[in-house]
Amino acid sequence: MPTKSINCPQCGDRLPLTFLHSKLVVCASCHSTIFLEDDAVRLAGKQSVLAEIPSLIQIQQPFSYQSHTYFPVGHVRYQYDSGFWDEWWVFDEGGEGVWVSVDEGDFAFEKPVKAPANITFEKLTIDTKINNWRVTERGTAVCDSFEGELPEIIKSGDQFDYVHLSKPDGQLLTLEFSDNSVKAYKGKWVDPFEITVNT
Amino acid sequence: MSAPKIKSIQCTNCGAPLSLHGGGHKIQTLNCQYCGSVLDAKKEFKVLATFSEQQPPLLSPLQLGMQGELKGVIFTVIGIVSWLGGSTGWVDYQLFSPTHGYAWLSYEDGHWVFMRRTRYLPNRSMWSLSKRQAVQINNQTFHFFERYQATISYVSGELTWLAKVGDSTILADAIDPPYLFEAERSDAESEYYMGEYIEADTILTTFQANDDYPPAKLHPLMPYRSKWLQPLVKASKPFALILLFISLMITLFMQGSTVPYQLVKAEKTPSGKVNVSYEFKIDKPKRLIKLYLNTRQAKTLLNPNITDLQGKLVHQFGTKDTNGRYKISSTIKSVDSQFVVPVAGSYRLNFIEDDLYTPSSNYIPTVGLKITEGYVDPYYFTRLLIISIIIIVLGFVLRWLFESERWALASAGDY
Repeated sequence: MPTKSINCPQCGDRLPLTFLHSKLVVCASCHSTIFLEDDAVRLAGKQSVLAEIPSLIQIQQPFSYQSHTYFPVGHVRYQYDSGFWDEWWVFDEGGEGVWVSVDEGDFAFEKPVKAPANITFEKLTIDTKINNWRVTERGTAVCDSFEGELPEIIKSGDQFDYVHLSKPDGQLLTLEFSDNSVKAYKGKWVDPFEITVNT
Repeated sequence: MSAPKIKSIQCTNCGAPLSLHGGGHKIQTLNCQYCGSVLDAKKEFKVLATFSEQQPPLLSPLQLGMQGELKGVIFTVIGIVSWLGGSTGWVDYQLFSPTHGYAWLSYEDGHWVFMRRTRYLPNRSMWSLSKRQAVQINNQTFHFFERYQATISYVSGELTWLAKVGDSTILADAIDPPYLFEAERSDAESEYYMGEYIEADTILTTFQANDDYPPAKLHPLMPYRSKWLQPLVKASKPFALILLFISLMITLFMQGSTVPYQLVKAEKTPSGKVNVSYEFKIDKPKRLIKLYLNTRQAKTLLNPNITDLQGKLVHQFGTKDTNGRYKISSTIKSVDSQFVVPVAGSYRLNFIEDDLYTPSSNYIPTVGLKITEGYVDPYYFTRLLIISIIIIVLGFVLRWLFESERWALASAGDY
C-alpha cells in the first residue's frame, strides 16, 4: 500500500496516511481535523475526542474475519434514537476500503455501491419490500465524533436519515438520505465471534 | 476487559434499590425483582406494569450481576426471565458483553444452552414444518423438533425487550445437536436465534455458581456420548474399510497356485484297512500351504498327516479322539488344513481309510483333494472385519436408541 506523509498544519506533528485517497484525517496529537484537497491540506477546526468504550475493533489494530485481514484506520460514532453506533473505516488485504458497523454486538461489513434511483426515505417504512430486500430498521443519525482517516468529509453534528434493508441470507443494504442525495452501502451481517483480533 | 460499571437506582414503584449492570443502550426495561414492576429504561424508569405476585423460579443457579466467560468473551448476567411452556419450565438469563453484545443462557432441568440472535433465515418456514423435517440455515441442516407456546412467569433485571408476566410467545425449534435454531413469533415480528448446548460444569465453573440438582438424564440438544463405544466405533470405521480391502485383495490375488499330486500307494494294512498316500511337490517352502480334503462322507480317515519322502512327519491334522489318535470322521464333509514345509521338495499326504476291504489295482480313493502353495489366509483379517462390523452396528443401534429417546422429548402440542 503506498504511503505518503503530511504534517499537521496546527501542531506540526506527522500525519501518517495509509491511503492515498483519504479525504479527512484527525491529528492524533492535537485532534485537529484536516481535510485533504488534492495535495493541499486544510485545517477545519478541532475534533472532540471520542469517548473510549470497550470494542473489538481499534484503530491501527488489525483483525481477521474468515481468513481475511482488515486494518482499521478511521472511526466515526453516530448517535441515534437508541444510543449510538460506531463505523470503522478499514482496509482489506487488497487495499480496498470497507465500512464496519458495530452496534452492541451487531456487526456488519459494507462497501459503497450505486444508490437505487427514485427512492425516498418516506417511502421506506418498516417491512416495506423491494425485490427480495425488506426494510428492517429506519431512523435518523447524527455524527457525534470521529478519529483517524476517513474516505469522505464528515463533520460533527452532520445529520442524515438512514434505512436498513435485509435479505434472508444475512445481506444488508444501508441507504443514507441527506440534502437530496442518497448514499448506498451493501454488505452483510457478521458474527462478532468470528472476528479475531491479531495481536 | 473491564467489568461494566454497576449503578444503582431506586424502583420508581416500590423504592427498592435496583442494580444496573451496564446492559447497554438497547436495554428497554428494568424489572424490579421486589415488587414485580416493569420500568421503562428509555423514559426515566416510568412504571409500565406491575406484577406483584410473580414467583421467582425455584431453581436459578445464576443471579443478576454474575460474570462468566463463554466462547472467550466475558458476559454479565443482566436480566432473568422465567418461562412456562408445554409440560416444563425454564429460565433464560440475558447476558451482555460490551464488545459482543447480547446473548442468552437458557437453563432447563440442569442443562444449559447458549443462544444468540442470528440474521440468517431458514430456507423454509419454521411454522409449517413437521417433526424431523430438514431445514437449512446458513448451509447447516437442522431437523424440526417442536413448536410450543411459552408464557412468562417471572422477570427481573435489564432486558432488551418489554417482557411482562403473562406474556406469551410461540417458539419453533429445529435441532442439529448440539446446535439449536429457534424461531420466536410474536404479534409484531419473528426473530431467530442460534443456540449451542454447553456442559453444566462449564457454566457453573465460569460463573462461579452452584446447582444442587444434577442435570436430567436427557436434553434435546445433548450430544450423543458413549465413553468407550463411540471412540471404538470411530476407530472401527476406517479400520473396517482397510480390513475389507485387505481381505478382498487376499481373496482375489493371494490364493496361491494349485499343486498337482498323484496317488502313490493304496495298500491293505495288516489290520485289513487301506493305507493311502499321495505325493506332491512343493516349490515355495516356508510359505503357507493349504490342503483341502473332502471326505465325501464315505469313510473315517485315520491318522491323516504330511510327511517327507523319508517318512518324517511334517504336519498332523484332523481331530484327536479320546485315545489320542488323529482322525477325520466320516460325518465331516470336508477339512481345511494349513502347514508350512521347511524346504522345497516332494512330500506325501497319508491317511488310512477305516474300512475293511482289499483295494483293486485301479482303486481310486473316495476323497477329494486340493493342495495350494503360496497361499495367504485371510482368516484373521476377516475375523477382525467381522468384529469391526459388529462394533459399528452396535454403535449404530445404541445411537438409534438414544436418538429415539431424544425425539420422544419433543412436545406433542403444535402451534
